[in-house]
Amino acid sequence: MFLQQLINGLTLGSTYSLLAIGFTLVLGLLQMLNIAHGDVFMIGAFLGLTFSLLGMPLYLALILAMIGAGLLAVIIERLCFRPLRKAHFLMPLLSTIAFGILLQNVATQMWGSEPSRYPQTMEIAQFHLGSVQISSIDIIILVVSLGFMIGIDLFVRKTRFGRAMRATSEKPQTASILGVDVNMVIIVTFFASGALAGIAGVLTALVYLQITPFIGIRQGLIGMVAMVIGGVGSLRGAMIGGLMIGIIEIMNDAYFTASYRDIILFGLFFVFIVFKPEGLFGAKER
Amino acid sequence: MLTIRGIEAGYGAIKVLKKLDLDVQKGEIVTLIGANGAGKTTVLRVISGLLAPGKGEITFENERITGLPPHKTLRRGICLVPEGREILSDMTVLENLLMGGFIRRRDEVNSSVKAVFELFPILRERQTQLGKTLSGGEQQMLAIGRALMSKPKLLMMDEPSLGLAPILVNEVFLKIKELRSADVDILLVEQNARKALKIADRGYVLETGQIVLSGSGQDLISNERIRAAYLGGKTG
Ligand SMILES: Nc1ncnc2c1ncn2[C@@H]1O[C@H](COP(=O)(O)OP(=O)(O)OP(=O)(O)O)[C@@H](O)[C@H]1O
Ligand SMILES: [Mg+2]
Repeated sequence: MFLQQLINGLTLGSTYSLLAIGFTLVLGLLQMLNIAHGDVFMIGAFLGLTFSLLGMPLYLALILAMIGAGLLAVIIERLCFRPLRKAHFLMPLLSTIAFGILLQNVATQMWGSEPSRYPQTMEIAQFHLGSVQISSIDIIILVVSLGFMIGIDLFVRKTRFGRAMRATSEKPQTASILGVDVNMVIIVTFFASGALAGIAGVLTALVYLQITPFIGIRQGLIGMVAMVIGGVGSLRGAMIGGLMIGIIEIMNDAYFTASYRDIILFGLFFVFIVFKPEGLFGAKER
Repeated sequence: MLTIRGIEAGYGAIKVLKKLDLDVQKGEIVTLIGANGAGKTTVLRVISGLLAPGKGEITFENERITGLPPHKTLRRGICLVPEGREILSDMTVLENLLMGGFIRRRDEVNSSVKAVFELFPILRERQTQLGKTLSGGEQQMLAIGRALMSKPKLLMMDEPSLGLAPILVNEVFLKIKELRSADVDILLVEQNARKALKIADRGYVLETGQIVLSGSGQDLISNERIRAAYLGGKTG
């Protein structure tokens, strides 16, 4: 029973991690939050739904939703961040809040505000491992999101472009005199953050089977909570933070009361802010 | 090969450089000296592209590079060792060097790392340490080594001896002389005017954004006005 919940928690949490990573990537580069990030997740889910309704197989819908959400994040960079580089530091925060609301309304116009049913484009198989039951959907979610997490971690740590990303987030001017096209790094980073949110959107929709234009609101906030718990600025922290929240959420629902879920999660947020503001993996200084 | 003509630049309403001319010829070490706030760093920032000039023209190897962003001037062969070293503190020494070779092919980068380790053996010992754990002198060597990784044709250094112990200062100046024999032209900004003029072929004196004097290193060292203002009046 406990093992079952643990796996369910990891599955849910891995989608939170994907969101938290996106926040962290942008924050590390620009020291700014993209509040519309949760709504990129929502658009990703609707893109997945639309492509699936067109009869595409899941992998194709996932790839296209990922590209669409990535491009949307690039548009956000162009509209909400780049024109405001020299503006007051709160301006991009405000512009992304506005853009998020815009996205919610556009989605409402396109897909309606009532829950849309997510079409089933594949057979769902159930596997039994002892007392643990795991569905093919869970396996897809775990493999895809853990795969992307490990991939992005390796990419940032080991590759030439990943090094350029780290250099740019620490000292943009220095990165530029070393030959890094800083604007290019910013665009690629936004694309990656949006793509990860898009994947998370489709994967989450596979579980809940119903989506509305407002699913990004809670999801975005949870992604931020995951980032704070993991340690602001730390990629691995964002991953662990997301997994932890998923497990806590599922354990709460299984052993306690589902209606207390967000009281506990957002309560935890404040516990960390007050007692461990650097989070689990964040640096104390900076 | 570098020519600067009539450059005017500043920060917002503050005008710093006023109609500045300056040249670096092939095979030269040129030094730019001047008091604090004269605009030396600003000159280097304009050349590298960190700051766009309001007026004037910069050419490098007969091509106009005025206003090109830093990642493009670097690809033309102009590299800046910035004031304050600007080591990437959360990256290892080796990663800092690899970043220095960002614009080069992977196989070339490896041989350049070896060459830098030969020039600064201490960096080989420290290669897995994080940048922020290096001493000031080690950081300066890393900053120079990192710049060399891009194989620059023109290396611009902003106060490389700042904050170093006298023995290290001598070492840095020795390395700079070695670089010239390695076919790198150098534009050197220094507080340490005497040492800079000694190794330089030519020098410029900058006062409130204008070149007030220029000449060979030797001429400037023996110039009365320079002795009084920048060399502490003593004989060298
Ligand atoms: N970012 C900036 N914003 C506004 N003014 C600046 C800025 N950077 C430099 N200045 C001004 O420009 C002038 C020249 O500065 P610069 O850094 O080029 O001098 P410097 O010759 O390198 O001095 P130092 O020897 O102290 O390094 C100074 O008066 C300085 O106050
Ligand atoms: Mg200076």
